[in-house]
Amino acid sequence: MLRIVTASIIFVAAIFLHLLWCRYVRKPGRLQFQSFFVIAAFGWMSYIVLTARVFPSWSPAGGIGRLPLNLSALVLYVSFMPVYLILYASAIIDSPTRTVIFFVKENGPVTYEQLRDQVTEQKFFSARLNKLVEHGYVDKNGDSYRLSGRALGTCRILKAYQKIIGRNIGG
Amino acid sequence: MNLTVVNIDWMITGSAIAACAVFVAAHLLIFRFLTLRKILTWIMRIYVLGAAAGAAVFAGLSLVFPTEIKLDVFSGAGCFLLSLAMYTFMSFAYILCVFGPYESSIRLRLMLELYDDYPEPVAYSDLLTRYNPRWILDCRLQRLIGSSEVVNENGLYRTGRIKLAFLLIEYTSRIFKKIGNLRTAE
Repeated sequence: MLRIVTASIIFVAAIFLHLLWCRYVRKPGRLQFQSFFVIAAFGWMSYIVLTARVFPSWSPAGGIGRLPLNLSALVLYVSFMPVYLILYASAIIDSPTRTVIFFVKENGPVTYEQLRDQVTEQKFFSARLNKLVEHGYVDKNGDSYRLSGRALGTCRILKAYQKIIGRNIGG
Repeated sequence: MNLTVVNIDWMITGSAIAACAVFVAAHLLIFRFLTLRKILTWIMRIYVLGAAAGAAVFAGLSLVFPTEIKLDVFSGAGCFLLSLAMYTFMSFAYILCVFGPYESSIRLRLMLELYDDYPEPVAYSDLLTRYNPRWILDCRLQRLIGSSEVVNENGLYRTGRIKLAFLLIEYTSRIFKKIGNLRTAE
């Protein structure tokens, strides 16, 4: 269990380092996923070094606390990563669900029309579409939009998932 | 390396992966029949189903791989809790990273709407007739009403029971925002 705790502590340290990286080496308006992967990889390397050099080797007398659960530590470490990245992204990207909940909480009871004024075309529709254009997933020509080659792979994966799950995409 | 030690490591990881596999399989089987209002309730139900499957696999593997290490009740419970924690993070990651974006990402929906007409372009007005802010709001309201986080009484919406998971995500995001001085983008 000592190794699990160590891997968890290293992951928390990687989160702090990444957030400090975002704070001081900022690229405005961009999610910094790559820098996190690099920091997390260094974190895992430090785990390997630490467990190989510092931790005592296991013996039955050491009990469960010293079991070398390296595979469990690795799987847990990798499972933490997408969870953190989604939480990190949700801190940056404004969500309509959050907008609805906080508007209702702060102003409720509210009417449908009041909620409709919060979820605007500009904020949650055209802004997202423009971001897709900006990042090269969609080409804009006058008032028309066309998917770019860059987005085709993602769309094929989505269609395959749609077939497997058997329900239409939400949005 | 002592083989029995490897077995315990595999038992913990294997039962967590098996639990997650049951969770994903149940999700893929059941969610095709669900309406938006029932999504959150059923995520919790299949989470419990996965946890039960994980416990069964953990117990089964313990019988298949008898170890020389004597695990007392607390140690055995500790190993199972670790497996449960791993399963929780794996299933959470699946919901947040795969199903969540599929069910609620505006960008992915926009991309699929354009993909349906590919390689032809789609006019902005046409796109708005297929998918628009009213749809976005209605989907969210149905999910929130289904999970009792928002209540609709005589056409007026008020807060219901805000889920712990939502609060955890919200407050963790706020902490990240503060530490990283992150700014909200659209």
